[in-house]
Amino acid sequence: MKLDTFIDNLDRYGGDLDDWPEALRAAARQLAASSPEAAAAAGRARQLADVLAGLPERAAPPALAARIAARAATDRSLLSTVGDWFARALWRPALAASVPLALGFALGFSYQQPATTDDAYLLESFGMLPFSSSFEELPYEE
Amino acid sequence: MTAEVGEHDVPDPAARSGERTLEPDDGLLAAIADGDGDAFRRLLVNHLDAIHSYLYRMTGSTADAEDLAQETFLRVWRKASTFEPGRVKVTTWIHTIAHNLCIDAFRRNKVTHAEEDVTLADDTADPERLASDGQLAALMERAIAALPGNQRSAILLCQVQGFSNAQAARILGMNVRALESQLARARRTLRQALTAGTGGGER
Repeated sequence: MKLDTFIDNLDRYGGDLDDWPEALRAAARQLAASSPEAAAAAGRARQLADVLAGLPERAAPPALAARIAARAATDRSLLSTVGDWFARALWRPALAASVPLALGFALGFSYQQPATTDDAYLLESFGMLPFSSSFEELPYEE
Repeated sequence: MTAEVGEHDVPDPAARSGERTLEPDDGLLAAIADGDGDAFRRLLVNHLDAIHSYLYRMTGSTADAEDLAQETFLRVWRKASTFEPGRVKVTTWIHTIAHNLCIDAFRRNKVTHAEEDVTLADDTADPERLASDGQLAALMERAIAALPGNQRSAILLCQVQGFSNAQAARILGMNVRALESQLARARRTLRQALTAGTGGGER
């Protein structure tokens, strides 16, 4: 590995050679051991990493956590209030509407009357409705 | 996206101080999804400082950091049921929400980040004195603040918040190679600022 490549990789992967891709580690270690310039560059990269890792945490002000928790409690209670009202107000009408609907579907699917000739003629007539300019043209029987 | 969580697993940045509780965060999220306020408060204890710290350094403003942190955790509260345990770590998920809110705020110009001059006024700076009186940290803070947004978020996530490249790439919604390009540029700039600030020479 050339020195320029080594320095580029230091910027890319950091000063700790253990964090480098495995395929590059052996060559990087060999260069760092044999080249004072490479060793110095690795040292500078480690120094930068140490400084950055040592930056103090910018802790949140103590009141912020309480403020967020209070907002969340309001948020959830508002949602649950609306949800509860919705559930309380609508479950009876929803149930009342669904029972006859379900019965209607059940009856409709279980009882299928065979179509008569008249029914077939009516169906054919209604099928022609979109192509008729007026009701007079419909093939009503006299 | 090519990022794979867990490729280079690192300690949870929120637990670095060693003072926080070691609740299994996945369990906390499940409890929060069921409306457990105590679990939410424990999650705040575990993660709020890390999120606030990241947002403060991204925005350069305490007020913006507080607003965005609040919005981040309210999203966590509302969307806890959508978290998929085992797919990402909780801290990665929360940082992703925070980062996206931050980017939205930048786009809407609700939040701006003033770039500052990264050079020290004192050009006879001594590294030991810089380190002892906190000027080295201040120098780095200014240098980070002056980075372009993508580079700033990449370096903060990988070198300050403690994420692996793969995790940071996932948070930023880019592939690992793109993240490493941002990191390379950021490290080069910061290394030059550090060398200039400490009066050292660089090849």
